[in-house]
Amino acid sequence: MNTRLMITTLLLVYILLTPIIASTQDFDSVIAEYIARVRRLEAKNVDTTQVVELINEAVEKYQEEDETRALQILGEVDFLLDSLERSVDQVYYQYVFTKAITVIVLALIPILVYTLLPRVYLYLWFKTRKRWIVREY
Amino acid sequence: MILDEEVFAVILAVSIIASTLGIALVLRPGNIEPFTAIGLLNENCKIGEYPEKAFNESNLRLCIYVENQLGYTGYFKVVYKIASNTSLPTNTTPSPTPIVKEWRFVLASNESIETSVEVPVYCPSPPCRMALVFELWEYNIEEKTWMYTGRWVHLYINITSW
Repeated sequence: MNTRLMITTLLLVYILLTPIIASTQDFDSVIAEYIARVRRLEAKNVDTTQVVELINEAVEKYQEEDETRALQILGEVDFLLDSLERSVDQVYYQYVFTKAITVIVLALIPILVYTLLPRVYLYLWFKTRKRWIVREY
Repeated sequence: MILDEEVFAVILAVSIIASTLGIALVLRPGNIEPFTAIGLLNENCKIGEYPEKAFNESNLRLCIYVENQLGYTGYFKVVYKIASNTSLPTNTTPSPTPIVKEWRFVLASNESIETSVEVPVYCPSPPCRMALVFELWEYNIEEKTWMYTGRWVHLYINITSW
């Protein structure tokens, strides 16, 4: 199902982009659209490394005048961006949750030191000396 | 008291400082000082040992280094021009001489690229001393135009006839 969907998306992107990318200027604006989508994802802390690499590869191919391959790669980019955009909220909430937990844990450190350190110290102090015998000389 | 009060105070102070520092690091913004950078390297992609002379209408192999520290993914191009003393770019304006070659890159934040390039070298009446200028441009995705970043590098070269 996913493979069929990907092939359909690639074909659609290919058909749609072929007449659009008539000049380098048009190609730049097409790339800009993808980068705008990448930036929206980045703002929500989604990992876009793979997508950026693919867009760069498409740009490279276009410069090598291999437009067909460039369009194919852009189709893959489109497919990847779609799937990332679908999971953007989940990733963002996970990121916010992890950050909040980290801050709470860090903020708790001084409180824990204040309340637990004397007790732990006392406990260890008595434990290490429990076999001690007090003698009077 | 078994645990000395002064020692306890010091430990508590250290834990407060460590906690505050940790929170500040976690909550700090991603990129405080955004910038882009361009560098020119020799044919082995190393600094130094640049070519000093070349024959007219020959090709030179060099290496370009571009870095993105803007805090977001950017679409960049490096523009190659041949300029003289009077037509060098500034930090605000690009060189008025025509574009000879250009290379485009898409770079994520904190990413850099090193690429080997071959550039043509020529001058109208050799021998002459020309500057090989490499300018860094960024595509403004809102205005859909290329904007000069103000970053450029150049290499002076003596061009002689064959």
